Order: sequence, then C-alpha cells, then structure tokens
Amino acid sequence: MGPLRVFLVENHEDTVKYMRLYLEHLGHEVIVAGDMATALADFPRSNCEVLISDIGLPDGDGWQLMERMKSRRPTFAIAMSGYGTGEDLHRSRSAGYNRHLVKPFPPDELIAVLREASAVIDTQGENRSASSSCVESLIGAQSREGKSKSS
Amino acid sequence: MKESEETDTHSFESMRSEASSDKICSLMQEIGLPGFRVVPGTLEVAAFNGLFADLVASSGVRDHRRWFIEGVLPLMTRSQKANWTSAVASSEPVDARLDFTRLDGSKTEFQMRSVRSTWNDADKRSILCVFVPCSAASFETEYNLGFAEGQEMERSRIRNELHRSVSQKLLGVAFGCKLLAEKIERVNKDLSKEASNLARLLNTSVVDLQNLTRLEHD
Repeated sequence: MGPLRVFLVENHEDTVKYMRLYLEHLGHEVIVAGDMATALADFPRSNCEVLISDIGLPDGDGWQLMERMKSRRPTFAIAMSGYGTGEDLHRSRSAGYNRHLVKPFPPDELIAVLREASAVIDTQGENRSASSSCVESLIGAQSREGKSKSS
Repeated sequence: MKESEETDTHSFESMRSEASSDKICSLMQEIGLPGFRVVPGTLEVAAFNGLFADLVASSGVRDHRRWFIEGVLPLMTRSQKANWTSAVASSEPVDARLDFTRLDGSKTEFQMRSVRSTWNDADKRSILCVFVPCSAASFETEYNLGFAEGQEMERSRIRNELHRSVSQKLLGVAFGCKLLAEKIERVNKDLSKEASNLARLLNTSVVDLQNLTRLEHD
C-alpha cells in the first residue's frame, strides 16, 4: 500500500493524537479537523483521497458532514462510531461512507480498510489516466484531421 | 332502619372524602395501591384511601375504625399477628401476606407492607400500611414491564458510558501501543516482542469490548 492523504475528523484528543502518530509512522499524510465546520472548510483544499470521520461530532455528525460535502466528497470514506446497529451501518452507507468501523476497533482493522481504500484509489487513478489518454488521442486525431483538411 | 342505612352510607362517603385529603394515602391511591395509616398502640385507622375503602366495602364492614380489627387482623395467622403487632409497636417495617375474599368469591393475595410514616411531623407516630397485590396478573405485568424498562435504562446508561469514555480511550491506547511496538522493533527485537504481545492483548480486549457492546445493541 502506497502512502495516502488522510483527512481525520475526530474530537477526542487522545484518539486523534495516537491515530495520527500511527498513520504517519506508516507513511501516510494526516490532516486533522476537530469538528464538522473545520472539516467542511479545510477538506476541499486538502487534496485528501481518504476521509476518516467520527459519527459523533461536537457540531453535528459524520452523516451530515458527508451530505454537506456534496460534489467535493473523498474517493474513499470511513465512518467511526461507538454504535454499530444495522440502522447505523445503513445510515453510513446511505450517507456515502464505504466502511463503518465500530469503536473501539484494533489498529489492524483500520489498516485493512486503508489497503482497500488504496486499491480503490489506484483503480480510479488507472481509469482516469486511461480515459485521459483516450481523450488525448482523440484530440490528437482531430487535430491531425484538421491539418490534413486545411492542407 | 332505612334512615339508619342512609346515615351509614352518608357517613361512609364523608369518610372516603376525608380519607382522600390525607396526602400520603392519596399518593398511594394514585399509584393504584390500597393504603391506610394506623396509630401504633391503639391500632386505630387514622386515614385511608378510596381503594382501601373499596376493600372495606367488599368485606361488608363500613366502619373504618373497626375495619382493621375485623377485616384485616382475622386474616393473619397467630404468629403473623404477633410479629406485625410487635414490629408496629416499635415502628419497625414489617410485611404480612393476606388473602382477601372478593364479593365474587375469588381470592386475591396481598402483601401488606407497613412502614413508619415520615410524611410530616404530625404523621411520625403513624404507621403507613400499603397493600401490594402479589398474585394479580395486572400487577405482575406492570411489575415485569417496569423491571424491563429499568433494565433497558441501565443497559442504555452502560452503553453510552462505554462509548463516551471507555471505548474512546481504548481506541487511543490501542493505536499508541501498536505504534510503540513497531518503534521498539527497530531498537530491540526482544523488547519489541514483549510490546507486540502487550498490543495483541490490548487488541483482544478491544475486540471483546466491541463484541460486548454489539451484543448490547442487537
């Protein structure tokens, strides 16, 4: 798994501290927000591919956060919550989260999900480069056609 | 004779309204329990509520001052009576099981719980007696519902406490421990093995707690 840019939304200081240190130790870049307002303001300019957000936030919840992000959503989103009923999992899926982790989860569980995120990001990157090369070749063909017509 | 019956009914109705003005007896009535206050020593009924009066009516005795002596005491066994009288004389709480026969002939078992009334200064010398129906289906249902509600409230409290405090802290500790184990590995392999074992033990505890809280939810 290559290094990822992770945006972490969590207001519990100790959790933020050790989760950030561990993810940075693994080589990932971590940007932190302690509430929904900060996350909404900072996420669009962070260029992060992965969002890890607590569901219980001081000024809202992780589901509202995803809804308000609209078109600026991350490639892969992970919800964290102390609650793990079927309804909680369904709400997270409906809001747009790829995975819902129930606190307290072992670090290995997050690492496994981040591997999955990395695979999804790689696939989307390959698709994007394939489609962009396709567009480039189309533009190239059109311009060649234009040149031959003019000559 | 007819006039006497009317007077008797009138005085009984006035006694009922008098009884309902007694705050603690009214409170017992609100929660559906027949109750009365008795003066220790004389065993005179000082106040009672309407539900108690219904039991009086069903037993056919209309004088509430005689009701306890004629309607309740005969239902007690000799040892129960001795126990109850002695406990009441020393203002000690005491319970007694009594079978009341209703007008339709059915028997209803009550637990008569007697405690010293502390409603106000004037009541301190009186004993509050409350009848709790112990075999009535409605009481059993109400009791079970109340008990289930209490259990759910306690589960909810534990669940919220686990989430708010314990699981958050454990999550931080789990990541800190894992980080420590991986950093130590670069310096000392043996120490790292110990730290890894510690991290694994913590992870197991985290998973156990997670399963426990999941069970509480489902």
